[in-house]
Amino acid sequence: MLKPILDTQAVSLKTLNTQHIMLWVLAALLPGVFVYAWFISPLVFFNIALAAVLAVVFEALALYWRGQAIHGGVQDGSIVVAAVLLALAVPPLLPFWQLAVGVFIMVMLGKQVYGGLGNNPFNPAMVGYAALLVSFPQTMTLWSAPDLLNQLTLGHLLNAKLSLDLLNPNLLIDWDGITRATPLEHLRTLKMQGLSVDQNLAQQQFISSGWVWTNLAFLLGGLLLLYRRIIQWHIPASVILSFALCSLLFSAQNVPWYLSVFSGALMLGAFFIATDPVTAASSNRGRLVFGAGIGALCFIIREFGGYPEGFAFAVLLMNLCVPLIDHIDMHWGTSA
Amino acid sequence: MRVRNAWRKQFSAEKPRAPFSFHGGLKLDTSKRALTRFNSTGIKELPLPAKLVVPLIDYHKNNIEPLVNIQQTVSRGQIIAPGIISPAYGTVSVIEPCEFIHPGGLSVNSVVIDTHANNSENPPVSIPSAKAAQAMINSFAEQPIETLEQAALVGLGGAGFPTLHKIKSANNGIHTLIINAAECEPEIACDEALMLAEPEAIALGIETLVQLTQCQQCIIAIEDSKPLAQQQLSEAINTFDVNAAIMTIPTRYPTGAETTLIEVVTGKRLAYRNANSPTTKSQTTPSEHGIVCINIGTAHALWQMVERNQALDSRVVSLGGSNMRNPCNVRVRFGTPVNFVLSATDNTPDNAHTRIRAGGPLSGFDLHSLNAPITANTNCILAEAAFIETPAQPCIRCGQCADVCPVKLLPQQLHWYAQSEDHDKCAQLNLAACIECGCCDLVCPASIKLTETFRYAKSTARFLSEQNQKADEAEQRFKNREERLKQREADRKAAIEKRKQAVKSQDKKTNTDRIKAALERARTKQKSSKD
Ligand code: SF4
Ligand code: SF4
Repeated sequence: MLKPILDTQAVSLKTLNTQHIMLWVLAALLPGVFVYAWFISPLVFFNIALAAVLAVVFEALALYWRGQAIHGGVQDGSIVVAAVLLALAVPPLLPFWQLAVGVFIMVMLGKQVYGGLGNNPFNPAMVGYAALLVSFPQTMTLWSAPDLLNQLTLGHLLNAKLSLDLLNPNLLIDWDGITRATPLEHLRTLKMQGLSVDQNLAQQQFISSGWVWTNLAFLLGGLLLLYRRIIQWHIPASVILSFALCSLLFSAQNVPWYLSVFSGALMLGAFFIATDPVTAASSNRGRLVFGAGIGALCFIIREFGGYPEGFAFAVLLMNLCVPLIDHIDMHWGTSA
Repeated sequence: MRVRNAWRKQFSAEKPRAPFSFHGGLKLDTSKRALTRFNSTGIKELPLPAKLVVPLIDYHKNNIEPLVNIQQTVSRGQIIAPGIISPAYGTVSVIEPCEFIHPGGLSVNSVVIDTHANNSENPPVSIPSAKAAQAMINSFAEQPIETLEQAALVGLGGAGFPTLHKIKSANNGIHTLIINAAECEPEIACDEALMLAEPEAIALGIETLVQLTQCQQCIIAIEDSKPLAQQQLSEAINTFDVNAAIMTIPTRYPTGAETTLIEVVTGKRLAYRNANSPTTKSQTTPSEHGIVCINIGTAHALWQMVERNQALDSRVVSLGGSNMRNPCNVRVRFGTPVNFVLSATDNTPDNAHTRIRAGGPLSGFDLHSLNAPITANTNCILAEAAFIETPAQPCIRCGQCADVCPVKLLPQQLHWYAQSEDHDKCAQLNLAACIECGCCDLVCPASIKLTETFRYAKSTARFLSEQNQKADEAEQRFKNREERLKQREADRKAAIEKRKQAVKSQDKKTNTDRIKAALERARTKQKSSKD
């Protein structure tokens, strides 16, 4: 008979296991997903489903190759969460095979090469995203304009998605007509042309684009996670604060900081991506530094970098700093 | 009466300060304890079994030599080995290795006593009037503290540290005496039962301790989940005018552990060196800070010593757990085998899947054999259903373990280094301060067995440090010998040199003398020839 050292079973304490945590994260993503589908594109459901299924398949394959127990490894659900995050981060119209490539890179290069859950230094979803952004810059920045989307049937769009080349002229879709840059990109273009942005116009554009609502919905989900104590406040708070502070102090764009905080993928990133415990700093003090770094880098990339949305790179860069942060933090802890 | 009593009156009239808080910890479900409490009719006195088994080990689990022989008749309270007394009147039948309560099911040399039929009953402690009690306590406190040796007092909280050592090791005097009335773990209710059943004896025991230790303040820490026990005890304290203040502390595991209790009561966070793991040098023991923690069960036992000169030979044991048919609290004579306790209370496990544990769910362990005898450390016996193992998953670095650790360690990092046997890193991360409370295990979403790893790493570190110490000592001995030999050689050489010098100088001296003498003679000759 089994003789446990600690009889944790006898102490009734309702704690969450990894699987529960992942389920909660998925549940907390729901409001954001629905708002996103409503305002931006319902194709996100297709992307999520595709990414999740592929991720599980790739993960199982990788575990098989590594000679690990497939069931135990897939069961914790962490790869599904990563897949959903990736699907939410890419443009909805991304051709399916490109998404598949992204998922493959996410599972293999983002997670399994390091030895699976808990050992990966980089956020897998962001590895996948960055790889896609670098490989397919054209389609990765192709966002459909929400108000024009209704003119096309869903079938039409799916057809476009399933095609191998989105920009193939045979598709007979007038991409210039139906796509429009996201507000962030729009602002960028204007700035590059040396045009000043009218504040009211910019505000209007931000709000009408639906991104603000999407961000608010992700914020809601994030607060749920905070309430359930699945994540701690340190990372989201420091990401948002440092980003807001940077845009308040240094932004040359005519967008008030409270709007730029609700643009792009910031809320999704702050609550769901940066909080991935595996790739974040381990102490609370370290997490504050980690989050602040992400917020600042995200701002810098948005403002000065070559990409309209810099969250992925900000996260990856800070992932790179985690060992250093942890080391310094521990050193301080012991000498103090 | 002592001089400081007037001052003390003032102290006890003072309203007790609010408790401090500690980092982490967990709110555990104490409803099972309520079950043990309400099902019980006070504390049942267990009959004396025909055979008592007394393991011959001390606090450090070292074997000790018996002072009695086979077939010798021993009386109750007679010392049968240094620090160990016979729990009953009887005859030593054998001295042989017997199983004892040990996680690995080891055996240890034990004295087996056949108890005699005409053993005196254990009469309930009598409670004198307040005045008579004071007089008894005063005359007891007048005696040298070494008389306590006869009482064989040890901590009844679960660790079993000899109380006399605790008191004596505070060589700068005792500032704060903390009476621990906080139960360590949810299933354990023996202290609570004792407070409900005999609050007066506890109160008088505490007063004796206050007088003995000459402490400046005495604080009784009781969790807020035991209002009834607290009320009983505070009434008794008022009746006997005991110079102690009751502090209600929040029920949060592990408040009952010494380190956390001291933090809660005094606000002092002692990076506490467990007596078991003297690896980290910078840490201090409570007694170096003038703080001594004593369990209320020990206070009760002390009153028995004062009142009728009876040594500590029994304790209250909680019988609980989900598979215990009749959960209750029983007073058990030391040396009583566990299966006797279970059968006498009609709790013999009815199926093979029931696990019998000694100690709480987190600090205790499953017993290998029910023949093992109850000792001072056995605060509870649990009967639990078969354990369903959850396999450990990879750590997701969620940091929950660090959030709940009451001594502010980083269990996740410690686990990493403990597994790779990096003892230096573990020492740096202060592994020695881990109180093995199990909080980290309870919250870990990946079901990693952190505490088990720490226990193992701690014992390995202890072993290694002992080895190192031995090696160092041997090296030192070798060096000393070399030194001595060198010194001797040098001395010898010096002596030879000295002798040579002496001979030489003597030679020189004699030469010059001779010359002088010759000259003298020549001179006198010349003189005489001139004359
Ligand atoms: S609680 Fe468990 S999973 Fe979380 S950091 Fe600690 S060891 Fe890792
Ligand atoms: S077992 Fe040790 S490391 Fe774990 S919570 Fe308790 S004291 Fe901290």
